[in-house]
Amino acid sequence: MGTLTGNSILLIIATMALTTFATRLAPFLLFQSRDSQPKSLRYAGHYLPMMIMVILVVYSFKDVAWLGPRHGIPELAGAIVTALLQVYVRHVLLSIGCGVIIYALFSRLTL
Amino acid sequence: MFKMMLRSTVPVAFGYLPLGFAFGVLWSELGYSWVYALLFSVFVYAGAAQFMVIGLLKSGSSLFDIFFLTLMLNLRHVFYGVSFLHLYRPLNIKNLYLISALTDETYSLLTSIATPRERQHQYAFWVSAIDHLYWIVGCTAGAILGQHAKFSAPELEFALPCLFVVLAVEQIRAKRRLGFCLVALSAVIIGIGLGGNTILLVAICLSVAYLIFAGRRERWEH
Repeated sequence: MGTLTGNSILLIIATMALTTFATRLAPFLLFQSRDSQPKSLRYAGHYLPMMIMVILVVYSFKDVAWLGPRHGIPELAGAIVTALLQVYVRHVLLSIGCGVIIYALFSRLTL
Repeated sequence: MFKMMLRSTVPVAFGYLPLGFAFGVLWSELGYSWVYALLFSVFVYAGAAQFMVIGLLKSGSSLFDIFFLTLMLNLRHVFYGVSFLHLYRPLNIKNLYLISALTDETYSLLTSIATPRERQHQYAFWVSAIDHLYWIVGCTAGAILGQHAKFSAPELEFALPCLFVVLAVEQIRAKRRLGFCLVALSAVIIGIGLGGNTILLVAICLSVAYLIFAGRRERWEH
């Protein structure tokens, strides 16, 4: 179980809260109005979140045990199910829920 | 009017209540009090980062790692506020709260529904507050249940990668440009290849560099 003190956890919460708030507050400190931002930033703001999400998807799968007993099949199956459901049904909870269930089911199978 | 606002937040409830609950359960598995889960949901209010920190605590990461990865993970929020620059001013307490509540889901909700000008601020406030409440209730309930009912479900951790997949699908659906996605894919693979703590930073920097190159060529038209 955990070995952190209460104060350490509070420090973590405070750090994450301030960091997250800073990212949300940044545009309000940097720009006066939507039109005062340069075209390049508008362009970046349009495409960068998409690229970051792709990066985060791959990043969250980097520690998967591809060479382990299950060869990452539960994770791949879960991700594919989630992606397909989101593309065709477009229901967030359904996509995530089914992905987790598929992952859990495949994790329990011994190959 | 209020009923309409409440109804528009129902899709967010469907996401935040279960996802928050999953976080709460995972948090309780670490062995710490549910009160911290409540504090996370009130003050941090960032699902992806909250899930991530559970993994970081398990692997014994430093505070700097937590700070740095939270920053990298939440960088995309910098672009959300741009749509609300005119609405969330002046920077009084109420508006600062609204800014702090600009999550992926709330942002999507607020930018998807057209409200009459004079109602926009009131609408934004109630939607933001209600969405936040869903998250707080979910996280706290999950943590309490996890702690007292010995409810354990480590597979719930997979909800975070699934959330990323969902968000990525929606971003790609809106913006298209699969070429940029391939660049991002290459960037993160390079980052992973280099390893260490800077994977996300390397990947984001490479992506930004490519965007500058492509943007110049396309004269910043999107």
